[in-house]
Amino acid sequence: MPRKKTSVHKSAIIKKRGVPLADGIGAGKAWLIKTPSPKGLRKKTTHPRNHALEEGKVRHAIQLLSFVIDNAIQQITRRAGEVHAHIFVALKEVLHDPTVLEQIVKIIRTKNYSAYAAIKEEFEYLEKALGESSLHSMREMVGDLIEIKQGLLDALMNPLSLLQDEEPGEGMEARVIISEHLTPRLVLESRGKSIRGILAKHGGKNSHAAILCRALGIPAVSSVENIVDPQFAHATVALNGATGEIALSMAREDVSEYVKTGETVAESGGRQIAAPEQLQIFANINLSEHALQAIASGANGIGLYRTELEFLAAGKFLTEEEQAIKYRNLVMTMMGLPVVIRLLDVSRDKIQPILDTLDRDIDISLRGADFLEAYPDILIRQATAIARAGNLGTVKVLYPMIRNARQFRILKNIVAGIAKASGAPRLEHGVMFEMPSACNDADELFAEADFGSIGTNDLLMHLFNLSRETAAAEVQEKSQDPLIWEYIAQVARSAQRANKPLTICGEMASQPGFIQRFIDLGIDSISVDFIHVRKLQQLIYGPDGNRRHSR
Amino acid sequence: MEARILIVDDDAALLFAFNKIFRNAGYEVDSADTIDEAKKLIDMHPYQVIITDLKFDANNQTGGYEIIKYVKHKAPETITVLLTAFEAEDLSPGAIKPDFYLKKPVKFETISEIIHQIGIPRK
Repeated sequence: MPRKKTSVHKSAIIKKRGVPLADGIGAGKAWLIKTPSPKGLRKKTTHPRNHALEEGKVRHAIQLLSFVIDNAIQQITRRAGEVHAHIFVALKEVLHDPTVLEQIVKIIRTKNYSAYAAIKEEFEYLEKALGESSLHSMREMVGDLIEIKQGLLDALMNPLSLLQDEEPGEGMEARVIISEHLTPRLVLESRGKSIRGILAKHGGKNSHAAILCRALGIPAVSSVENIVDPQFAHATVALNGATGEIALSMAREDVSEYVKTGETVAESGGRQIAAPEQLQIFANINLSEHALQAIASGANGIGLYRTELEFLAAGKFLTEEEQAIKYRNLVMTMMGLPVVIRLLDVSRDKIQPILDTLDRDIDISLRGADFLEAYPDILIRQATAIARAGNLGTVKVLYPMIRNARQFRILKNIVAGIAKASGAPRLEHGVMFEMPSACNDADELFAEADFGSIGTNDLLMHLFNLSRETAAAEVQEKSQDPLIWEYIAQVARSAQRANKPLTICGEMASQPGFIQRFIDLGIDSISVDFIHVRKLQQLIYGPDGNRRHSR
Repeated sequence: MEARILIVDDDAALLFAFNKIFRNAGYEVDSADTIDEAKKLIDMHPYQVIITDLKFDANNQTGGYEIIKYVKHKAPETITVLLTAFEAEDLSPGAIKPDFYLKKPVKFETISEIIHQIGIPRK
């Protein structure tokens, strides 16, 4: 059936909005990139006598893509530093994961599939599995898998297409990429091609590609509906990577003015936020080994160390000794800067993969503090490990998903008792405000706690009944709802009354448009993923970041 | 002696990518996409390491061994690395063996480590 085309008047300006991924305003001619559909050699099945040949093709394709990624690592290291090169290192690790190759070979042998069909089947299975994960970080990896799949198929069918020209395209007109998926290689290949921005239908804020866009200063917007449309192939485009605004002109007019209405970093022209002297920018980390990156970013300390991800990375419940080594290394690396260690924030999606490493049944419907209260032996093991690092620096313990003051008191007494017995009585104890009930109980909680931290991601979910599957655009919209701001203000007022420090973390914390509001509410510190620290410091303190460390 | 690496593969894309990462990593690299071209280069330059693919085309399933045999005859001290995407142990004609036999996919770091151990200086 012929495709019905939307009728658009040539002189009309089409406005759209997506999820802002990387700050900045970009404008240029649209460059529509459609996922290539390789021709020839695309047969699905093969004769069993060709199994070895097809396996060889897969191995060869992985080899080529691996070297292409190595080139990307070298380029990014030169342009944005080793921290961002790790994005491609992560891609390479997935590519070299032996189980992926094993599965592809198994598909070839059991289904008589060609290399092409086997790669496609395996990666589409992985994409679906990760795409359905309730773990946000897992879903963000789908873009990487699409990148690897497409890279492998290119390596099989059109290998020379993988080898982009690194030379700057002098004299080329400014262009804005429009693509189905935002992938790291797409971002990297934009180098030297006069790319002023990227618009994508799919691509998460924390995806590797988005991180790379921010590192390289390429404005990007995702979740843009109906953007990969041939009618836009000859349009001019402008995007605002801070607000998500997009404008297109079929008459090829300059549409930059149409996206300059929002609050943007680019528009601020170096305008500094009115920040109090004591405002701290902390780094969120998932693994203790990220401490060096946190220090390199200029963070004032670690504002959130998500310890459960350390367990997940190890693929098991860590012993006290294993935990103690990680916590001690982290605290020593931070050399006196504060380290907020969040106790295990267990949830079904996080614990499921390592459940069988426990020699007993546990109730995986419990989350955060409920889980710690139900399984005190696991809490005691972790508290003992933290206490062993307690005297090596400034260690603060954060209690996740606290419901009320009663629950906090019970858990704190256990941890404080262990800390005292271990000779580390200096540990501080803080509440993570993620449950509306805890926010309503904030005065009572601050009477018991040494500090507080608002986890905006879960608070948003609880207030608006969102799930981890909720589209990023809707979460973005809810983060501007007065209700969430009322809750944040309520906790901030309680913290001020009790004279206790309060940190804000979660996605909202890294959004430039919200920073002044947080400061105006009296928030003492902002904790963001370490990759955002530098940018936030520049936004608040000016181009040099004016790094200050608190001891 | 000038420190030099020769990479031999009939796959243009792989040869290009291979060449580039080694050059970017600071090595002096030559490349050849045919057995004859590789032999000519071996005649012209002393190489400390030769990295070669095993198969060259459908008619030459063990061309990599031909290169290894040639270089071992001309310059026995040259370190040879054979890369293959296929099972190749049984294909080795006679007693010719590469110093390193690596099955694809091989990480760049693995090859780099071999070269590092040999002690080839970078440019």
